[in-house]
Amino acid sequence: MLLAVAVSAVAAPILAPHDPVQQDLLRRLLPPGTARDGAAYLLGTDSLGRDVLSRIIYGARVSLTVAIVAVGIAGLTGVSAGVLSAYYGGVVDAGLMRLADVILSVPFLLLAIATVAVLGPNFLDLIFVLGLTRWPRYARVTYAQARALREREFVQAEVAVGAGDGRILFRHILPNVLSPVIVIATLEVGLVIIFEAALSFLGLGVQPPVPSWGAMLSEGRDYLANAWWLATFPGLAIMLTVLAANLLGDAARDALDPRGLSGAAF
Amino acid sequence: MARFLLVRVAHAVLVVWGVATLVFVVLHLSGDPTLLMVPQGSPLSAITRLRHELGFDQPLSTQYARFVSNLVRGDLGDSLWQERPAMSIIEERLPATAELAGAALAVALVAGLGVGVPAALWRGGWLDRAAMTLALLGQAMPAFWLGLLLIMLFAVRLHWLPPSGAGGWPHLVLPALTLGSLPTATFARMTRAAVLEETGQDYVRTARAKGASRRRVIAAHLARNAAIPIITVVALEIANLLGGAVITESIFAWPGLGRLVLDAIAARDYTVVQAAVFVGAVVFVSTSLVADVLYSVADPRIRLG
Repeated sequence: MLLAVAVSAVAAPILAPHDPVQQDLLRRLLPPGTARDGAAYLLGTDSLGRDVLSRIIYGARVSLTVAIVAVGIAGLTGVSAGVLSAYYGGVVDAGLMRLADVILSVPFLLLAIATVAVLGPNFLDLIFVLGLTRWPRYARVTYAQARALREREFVQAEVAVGAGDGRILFRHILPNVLSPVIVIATLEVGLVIIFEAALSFLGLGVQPPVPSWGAMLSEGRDYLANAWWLATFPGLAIMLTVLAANLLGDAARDALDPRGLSGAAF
Repeated sequence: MARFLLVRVAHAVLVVWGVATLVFVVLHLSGDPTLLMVPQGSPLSAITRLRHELGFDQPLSTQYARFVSNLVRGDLGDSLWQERPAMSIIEERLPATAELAGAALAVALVAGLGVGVPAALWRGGWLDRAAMTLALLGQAMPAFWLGLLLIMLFAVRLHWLPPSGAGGWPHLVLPALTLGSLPTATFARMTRAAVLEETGQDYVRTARAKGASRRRVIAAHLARNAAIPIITVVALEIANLLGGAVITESIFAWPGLGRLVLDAIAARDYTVVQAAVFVGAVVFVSTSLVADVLYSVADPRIRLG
């Protein structure tokens, strides 16, 4: 399923039967399955005559891009923070881990909303916000793992032999902390997709006319009584994509982290 | 026990201070907060005057010192939009959100635990499989989509329940179900895992071998031990409830803190936004503290070690 979403995101211009942005006010609010003048609207059209199916396909681009980049940023920052804190201890440790605690203490959506409100709802900032506010989750896990590793014999041996910090960090500690991180990262992709949709739903995320699943749901809200398809299909798209990501995460956990070291929520 | 509590409280205070600082930093991220708060195209003189009134022309360190000292006295600043203290606005809206979150939590606990425990005890049975499938779907489904679907079905098609607003308990049903959907799924999965983990333990086998009935084993032993991870998850979910409330309140026009945040953003009233985020964090930190106390009750090793 995830593959299907990825493919459609990449191949969107070829796959989508219609231009997702082009409005056609004569064809507003057509129910799914209508065909007119040789053009078929499999999932109907929205209030501005735009084909829902095409917008969903293009929306996949937005959701996946945001999710993957944000998770990448969060992961990189988090893992670095966690490993460095664990390895060097002292002030670095205290500072970074306390910061992580503080960020984790604010309900995520509130923090995200407030930050986006201040920075303005543009695409790049959105990705940064989603990335930079989620790094503590990765940091916590890598910290615990790295702390344990630091004390183990093979690391002590390297130190005794006089290996430089960089070598120890990269060749020994890092590879061993990555398994739980991968598990968390896959689960986070699903979460970030939902958060991006939520922010777009509230008008604080991706701006029109760029199609975003969350924004489409928001539009559908106004037509619940007469155009049920506007609210149903984007949500379905979100759910299926996140489900795929979660299943991938579960599979990753079974393969890489059966002892539950990642602490990934059930 | 007292020492443990003291340490936890001190830690919580430190975290709250950290959150305040974070909130302060976020507000100043754009450079000049005054620009955020004025309508577009305001004359420069008005902007300068406002900046001076709000104290944004002072050096950052001075601003920060004032911010913290006000905070300690419970002053979260004045709302520009409503021209009264932000704190009083928040106090007005907090009960509504508390009601919604409480209802959602209740639904989630009853449904989640009610399904998770039997699922674990009759592992592999039809209840287990059905419940876990539903839980998987529940975790993947955006809550706001569920809300819209519920409105479409119960309010628009069937006319059984009102689609929005606050009032008597009928108004509470749909929002509570919407907000509670994700926690229910999480609790169900977590409870099942926790109970399964305990059933595998030696002490359970020993108790059964000694002749204790299934019921006694569950009540006296499993419950206490499985409670610990469950308490963790419940405490964490409170944070999600506070965040999710923003969306749920938006969909159902529920007059709570979440909608206040959105309205404040639309009105460019960042004092209120800042205050609301801070209050949200404080609530979360407090619940975590309570959770820690509950741990120590459930697990003596924590309070003594």
